[in-house]
Amino acid sequence: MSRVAIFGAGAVGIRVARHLLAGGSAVHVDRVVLRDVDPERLSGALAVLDAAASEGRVEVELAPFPDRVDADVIVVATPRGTQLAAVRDALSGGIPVVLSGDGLAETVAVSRLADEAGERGVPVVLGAGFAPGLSGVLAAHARSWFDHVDEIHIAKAGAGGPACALVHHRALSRLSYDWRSGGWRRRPGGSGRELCWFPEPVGPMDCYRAALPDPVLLHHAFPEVERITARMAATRLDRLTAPLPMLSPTHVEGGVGAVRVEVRGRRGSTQDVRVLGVAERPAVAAAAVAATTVEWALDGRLRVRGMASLPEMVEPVAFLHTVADRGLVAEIFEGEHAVV
Amino acid sequence: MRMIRRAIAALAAAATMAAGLRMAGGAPVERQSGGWRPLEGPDLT
Repeated sequence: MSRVAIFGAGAVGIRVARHLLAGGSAVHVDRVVLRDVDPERLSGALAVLDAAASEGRVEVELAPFPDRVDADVIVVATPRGTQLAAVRDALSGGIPVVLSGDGLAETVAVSRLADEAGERGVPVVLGAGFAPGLSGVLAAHARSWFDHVDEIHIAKAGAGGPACALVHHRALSRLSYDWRSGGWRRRPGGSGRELCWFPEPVGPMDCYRAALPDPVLLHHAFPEVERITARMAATRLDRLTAPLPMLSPTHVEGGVGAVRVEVRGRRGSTQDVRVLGVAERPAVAAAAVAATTVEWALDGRLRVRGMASLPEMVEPVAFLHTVADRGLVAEIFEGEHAVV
Repeated sequence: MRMIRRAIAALAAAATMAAGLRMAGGAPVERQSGGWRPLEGPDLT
């Protein structure tokens, strides 16, 4: 009997629960435990998961939470500032963790628990969302086209729920970290404008440096790559207001977003480039990726019994096929202006 | 004095127009060639 605990019943958490309870995959999840500090969110989740809840397959836990979690896998989809403690608690119980966070500082803080995860032999998947997450798997897949990869450039557009929007807002005013020629380059967020063509319907958008965790996770996965950067789509108003607190409440959920992964390298004696991408609402995509990762964890298919990023944990082609069944179709850009 | 006032007014008008144009941006850039297609097949190529 498999049991999955989901911390955070927001835009991502509820959808992860829905995927896991829907069935149709090789791995059956019997019960889902949803934890949140907001009773309204939990009652909304119960309404969404009505059929499974009426069968007794959904439990909800409102703060204050019990000390121990009875689960086979824990999904951490909570707002920034709460993820480190959640991962630490899960590790102390020896329970595998799937973390869908996209904040740089918190991802780095969680990565410091890598030794403990390795010693305990507990899989902890960092960045199991849209970006980081699917972006890294696309990079791993694109890498198979090359004999040697020189550069990986990630761009993303759009935000999931309000917590994700807040992380994006702050990221534009923080330092970004790019990996270049054996060292980290710190650059101001909001700088380095680059026009990136995302899959339709998102299309071309100006992207800027931001405090994103993708380069950190990708460098861990692909230490031989000489240059790794990440950019985020933003408007001029986003950049102008980034240093200020968010003055107006965010939407419940953003619209369609996208990730774009550009991989440059050598094949034989020629230089080549591959551009892969996916367009979807970020929370929908993050939930599909996280749910698939949970199923792989339950099935014992994760490749590392310790802490690692998603592209290190999964076989890319099989993973992309699985998420495609959930509506996340990877695309490739072909044409003279593949690199803009 | 009148000249200074006119110069300041002209500068303010120019700055306002520039800020407006900067915030509004131009027309989106149209793609010139190429496009996205789904990855297909067992190897997703």
